Order: sequence, then C-alpha cells, then structure tokens
Amino acid sequence: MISLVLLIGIYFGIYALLALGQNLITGMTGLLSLCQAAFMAIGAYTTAIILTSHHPLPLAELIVIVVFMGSLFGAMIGLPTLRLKGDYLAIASLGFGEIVKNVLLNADKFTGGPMGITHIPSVQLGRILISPYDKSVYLIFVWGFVGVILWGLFRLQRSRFGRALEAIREDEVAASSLGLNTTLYKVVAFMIGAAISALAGMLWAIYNGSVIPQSFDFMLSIMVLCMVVLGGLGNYFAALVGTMVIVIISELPRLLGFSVLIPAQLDQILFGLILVILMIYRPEGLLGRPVSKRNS
Amino acid sequence: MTTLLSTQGLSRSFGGIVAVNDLNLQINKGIITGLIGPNGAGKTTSFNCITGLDSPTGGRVFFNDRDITGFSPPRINRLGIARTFQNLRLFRDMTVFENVMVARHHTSSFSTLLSLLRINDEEKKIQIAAGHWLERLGLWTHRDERAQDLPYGLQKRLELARAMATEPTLLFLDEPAAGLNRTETEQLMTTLRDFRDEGLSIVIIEHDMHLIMNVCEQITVLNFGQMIGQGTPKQVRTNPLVIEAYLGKDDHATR
Amino acid sequence: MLQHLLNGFTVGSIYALVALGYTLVYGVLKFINFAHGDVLMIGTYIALIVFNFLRTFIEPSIAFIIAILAGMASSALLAVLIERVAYRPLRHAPRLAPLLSAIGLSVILSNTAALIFGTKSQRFEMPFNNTPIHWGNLVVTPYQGLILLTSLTMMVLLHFFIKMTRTGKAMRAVSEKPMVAQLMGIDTDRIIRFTFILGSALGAVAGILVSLDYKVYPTLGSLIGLKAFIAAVIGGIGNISGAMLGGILLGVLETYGVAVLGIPVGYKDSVAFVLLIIILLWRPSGILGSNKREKI
Repeated sequence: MISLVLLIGIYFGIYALLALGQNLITGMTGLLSLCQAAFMAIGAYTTAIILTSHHPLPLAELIVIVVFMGSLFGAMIGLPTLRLKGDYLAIASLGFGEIVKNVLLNADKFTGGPMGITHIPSVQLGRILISPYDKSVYLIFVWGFVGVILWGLFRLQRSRFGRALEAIREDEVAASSLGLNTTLYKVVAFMIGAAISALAGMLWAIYNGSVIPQSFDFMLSIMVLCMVVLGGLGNYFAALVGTMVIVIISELPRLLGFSVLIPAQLDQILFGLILVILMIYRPEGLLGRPVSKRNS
Repeated sequence: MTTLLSTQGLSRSFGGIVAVNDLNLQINKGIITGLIGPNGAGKTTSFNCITGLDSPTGGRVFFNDRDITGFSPPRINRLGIARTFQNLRLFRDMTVFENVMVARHHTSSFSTLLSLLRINDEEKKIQIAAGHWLERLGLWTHRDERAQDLPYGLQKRLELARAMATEPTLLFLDEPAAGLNRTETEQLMTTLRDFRDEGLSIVIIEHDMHLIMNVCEQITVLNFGQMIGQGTPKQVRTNPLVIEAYLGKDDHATR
Repeated sequence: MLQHLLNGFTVGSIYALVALGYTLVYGVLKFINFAHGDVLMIGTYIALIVFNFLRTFIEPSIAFIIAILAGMASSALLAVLIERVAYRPLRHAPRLAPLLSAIGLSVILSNTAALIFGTKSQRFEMPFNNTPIHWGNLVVTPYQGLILLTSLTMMVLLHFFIKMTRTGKAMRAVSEKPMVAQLMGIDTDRIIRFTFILGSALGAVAGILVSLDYKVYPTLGSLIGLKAFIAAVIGGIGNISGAMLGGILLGVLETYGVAVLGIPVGYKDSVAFVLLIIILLWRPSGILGSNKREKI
C-alpha cells in the first residue's frame, strides 16, 4: 500500500511537470499546443540513449543535455507553427508530435524501433543512488524538480517576461504594436515549456528503466491539456490540482485494490465522464478564473 | 514644414474590394493631421498598413525618408510610431499600471529575457516611466485597478497613455473621441494640443467634426480609398468634393 | 501509376466523407468535434450487428444495405444525443470547454465499445463477391468500386443539398453569419442538430465502407478520424468543397508517397502531418479556407 502511494506520488510529480509546462504555454501565453508528449519523448529518449551508451554521463550533464534538447525541439516546432492561431496551432503541433513518435518508431538504429530502449541504468546524485527500486528516494528526487521548476515559474510570472507573455495572451495585436517582439516571446515560452516536459521525460525514463514510442502518443498530450484545463488555465497551483485529479482517477482501481475486477476501460470511461461533467458545470476549471474573460 | 511620413501609391485590396487605392499621404512634422472620410473610406486600413498590422498590396511607406514598408509592428513601433485602436485593445485582465509598463518593455527586449535570471534596475526605470504617463493622463489613482473595470472614458485614456509610453515621435489615433462625452472630448483636445506643443506629430481618424476642425492644422479627406481633398480645416470645409462625399450630391445643408 | 491514383482516390474518398463531418460542425459551431470518429465507429458496430443478424434470413447484399441504413441512423441518433447533452450547454463557454468535452466523449465512446464489443477486430463476412476485376493493368476490387461510387454519390448529393434546399441554405447562413441567421428567424438549434445528423450519417457510411477492407475495431474512429480531420484542415475547415479536396489529396499523396516516392511504410502516417504543416504554413486557413483577417 505504501509502495502504491509512493508510486502515485512519483507519477503525480512527473505528470505535474508536464502540466506546468503546458500551463506556461497555454495558460500563460495563450498558445493551444498539443505536443507535450513529443517533448517528453525527446527527454526520455535522450536520457535512454545517453545512459545506455558506453560512457554514460553524470546526472548534472544529463540534465543540461536534456534541457538543451527539449528547448531545441521546442524552437524547431515553435518557429514554424507559432504563426498559426488557435485550433490550427493545436492540430499542427499535434502533427509534429505524431511525426516525432513516427521517427522514434522507425529510426531503429538509435531508438530501438517499436521495442524501444531497455535496461536504462540508475543514476547517481552525489553519493545517493537514484533508482526505481528505492521509491521514496525517487519520490523526493522527482518532487525536487517540481519544486525548483515551480519556483522558477513563479519568478517568471512576476518578471517582465511573464508580464509580456500575459500581454500577448490578452491581445497579441496590441502587444506587437507596443513594440513587443511577440514571436520571440512566444518561441521562448514554448522552449521553456518543452524543456520542462523533457525533464519529465528524463524522470520517466530513469524510473521505468525503459522507453517505448507508444508511451508518447497524442492521447498523452491531450491528457496533459485536460489536466491543465481541468484545474483552471493560467494558474500553476490549479494545474497541480488538475494533475492530481486525473492521476488519482487513473490509479483509482489500483488504489482500491480492485484492479483485477475492474477492466481498464471502465477507468477511462470514468475519466471521460468526469471531463464532460466538469466542462458542463465548471467550464473554467476547478480553480479557474471567472468565465467572462477568456471568451475571445 | 518637413514631411515626417509619406505614402506613395499605397494600395490595399481584399479580394475584389479595393479598400485603399493608390494613396499618396503626407504627414508633416510637429502638427496634428486629421484623416476624415465616410465609413469604409479606407482610413483604418491605411493606418494598419502604415503601422505594419496589415500588408499593403501595393505602394510604399516612408518614415523620415526611410522605406518602412513591410516592417513588423514592433519594429515600426521602435522607430517611433505608436497607435491606438478603434475598438479598445487593452490588456483587459491586467492592471492599469501593468498595461502601461508593457509599453516600456521595448526599451530592451534582451534585458527582458535577462529579467528571468536576475532582478535588474531596468524594472525600476520602467515603473518610473510608466508612472509618469499615468500621472500625466490622470490615471495614477487607478493604477491598481484592472483595465476592464475602468469606465469607458478612462479606458480610452489608458490606451492613449500606453501608446505614449512607447515614446513615439508620431502618434496615430483611431477615433479617440468615439464614445466620449463633451467634457471628456474637450479634455482630450487639450491633451493632444499639449502633446503637439511638446513636439509630437499626431494623425487622427475621427468622425467628431468639432474635434477635427478645432485641433487639426491639416486635414486629409479620403473616399473610396482615395484622397479627395487636403488642406486647412477652412479649405476642407468649403471643398465641394468633400461636401459631396459627406452629404451627397443634392443636399446643401452644412454642418 | 493509374493504379496508385485509383487506390489513393479510394482511401481519399473515405477521408473526405469523414472530413465532411468535421467541417460541417466546425462551420456552424466553430469547434473541433473530437468525438466524430468515435460516433462513426459506434455506427459501424451497429451496422455490423444488424448485418450479422439479418444475413441468416435474407440475401447478404440486401442485409448489407439495411445495415448501412441502420448504422447511419444510429450514428445520427448518437450525435444528436451528444450535441444535446454535452455540447449545447457549452455553446457560450470558454473556447476550450467544448473541445475538452468532446475529448471526454471520445474516450467514453471508444472505451465503451472496447468493453462491449471487445478489442478484437471483427469483419463483415462477405456481403458480396469481392473478386478483383482486371482492366488491362488496372485492378479494381468491387469493394473499391462500391466505396468510390457511394462516396462520390454522397458528396454530389450533399453539394446539391447545401446549394439548393432551404435547410442547406439555412446551414450556410448559420455558418457564415450566425447572428443574422438568428435574427432572420432561422431556428439555429434545429440547424445545428441537423448538421450533426448529416455529418455523422456520412461518417457512418465511411466507417462501414472502410471496414469492408480493414475490419471493425474500437479505435477505428480515432484513426480515420485523425486523418480525416487533417484532411478537413488541409482543405480549409468549415469549407465543404475543401473537405472533399483535402480528403482526396491526402489519400492520393499518402498512396503515392509510399508507392512512388519510396517513403518507408512506417512513415506513411507522417505524410499526412508533413503535408498538413506545409499547407498550413503556406495558407494558414487551408487551401480553400477564407483567410479572414481579424478586425482591428
């Protein structure tokens, strides 16, 4: 039971990172992008490739490379697509995400194709071994990342950069006529969000000890968007609440010890039902701001 | 008088509809120019083409003898051209203070990114400059209110403050008096004259003829995307083409 | 060469039929009906059940026709129900709310289908003879013929329906000027309901036709749904001829990409996404989409 709670805590932390990145992109900057899964995959595969190579890098360097790869892909996807608006951006970014998955499936040489990469070793943080076998250490490790990133995001929100993002979300035309290079800001926000998801991917890869392309399909990106909207867009705390709700729903049968009795589909159906009901009764999310404002 | 901004053969068509047709505008330095004409005459479209929000389908725009056609809105703003919008475009959910502070960001985009890493005294400078414009337009006491909670007249003023905070040399105002009452309009006229006296050049689109005739030194009249008259208020008032455009052929009534 | 064109046209006409459902709904409601694919999947299952039941009594080809009608009717009914329960309350909610509600429904429908019908794919057992016909070098299967004939007929009928009939004209009015349409006394609710009926009935036909070759399974809807949605966006979402054009274009290019350009089969699905991104960058509202500018 304890181990199950720890497990949920770990998944909660990893998904929370994805949701925080999505909230920066969608909630703060107003970009409806749907490719967090792809960025997560980039982080996970980067980690897997580095750690399974003959000369695995130490954790600190791994983190730097994962963040770099995440932001690189963020820029690569963001530069062409961020010119698109609303639904079009959503579908184009979703397309990019699927392309990433397709490449992972087919570039067998580097990614191991559909079988993915297995036997990813644990990492060492100073003297502490970070391994999936010691769940409590891993939990602290994951939440350390969540804590640092939350702190960073709060700083960002209160900085001039955050204010610029808010202005772009509120009215991009006005912001650009006031001299703000809106494209630059949007791409940078996108890159930061992507880097955060890549970190989530790194944590995922180390914890699972293996990565396969199927883990990163577009349903995951959609789930992440749901977490953020369910909590209430534009609020990091709400994103965490939304994440928690969805993680708990999806782990509920296991939590109650019914996992043998309840088919996995019922779980998904419950998730769908909650999503629909919540949107009907609280379209602005559990902790969302009043509806009036984001009607544009 | 020197020319500050000019357009040569500026055109913009949407599908088959020609909104601006071969327009040669001349905006002079240090004065207030009025841009008038019936609805659909192409006034706002010309504004949009000049400020980079729309791309002209033909012609060029020159600012200080520099060809700025096709520049992006932020780039044009940094060259010293600011504007307001016909329908308010405030950052509705942000405070009055923040609205104006955003307009100071352009002072250095790079340091805005740096602000992520450390606190620098740039922020202080931004606050001081923003505070200055709020005070100047009588909005200081409202600084912490959300923009959308302000009464309409103050929202319009906030938009003006925001545009001024980018420190333009040329200001485009799209119907600044629309929706204002008499007193507010008078206040606006005084403010605009003050700005002009301090060296700012202004172009105004406005349907309020009282304002146009009283603050503008020069008036340009558009109809069907073309210039049909230009001159001092007095000249324009008596220009038969202009009267016809405004009042129709057989109507002799004057305003 | 001609053979590939024919094959591409066949797949493309399926995409086009499904794409019409997305485009019709987007036209009147301006939102992505994410559940469309799953609605047609349910219709396909119902058709399969009806077919399997009837074929023991009557001629298989007649049973098949009845099954198609039953599938269309059940998809339409389901769509109407969904619209009433999950979309109508959200018509004035923030833009993301109906999208999420639709995602929720998609999850509910596909998992319910998996729960009831099982995840194993099933097929229509030979409603009629499918011996390929040879025309010189060209091979046409009767199924292909049926698919082409049916979908082209449907598209022509739809075209005339939209252009000629009162209801069709009202649909156009609602999609172009919703306020004016309402002021003119058009019953918007009725038109919206009708749009859902039309779109999902066409979708069900596509689902049934495609499953002649590819069988029926619970994720059928999301797979062709995603492709068809891309087709709709490529053509210009909200534009009926655009959906047809986009569908055919996508089908043909996919087939050519694999057969002629030698794109590895594994990357076949990426063709759609790459095409999508290229077209959106070239024309941000799709090929036939109106590039309406935001009023400033």
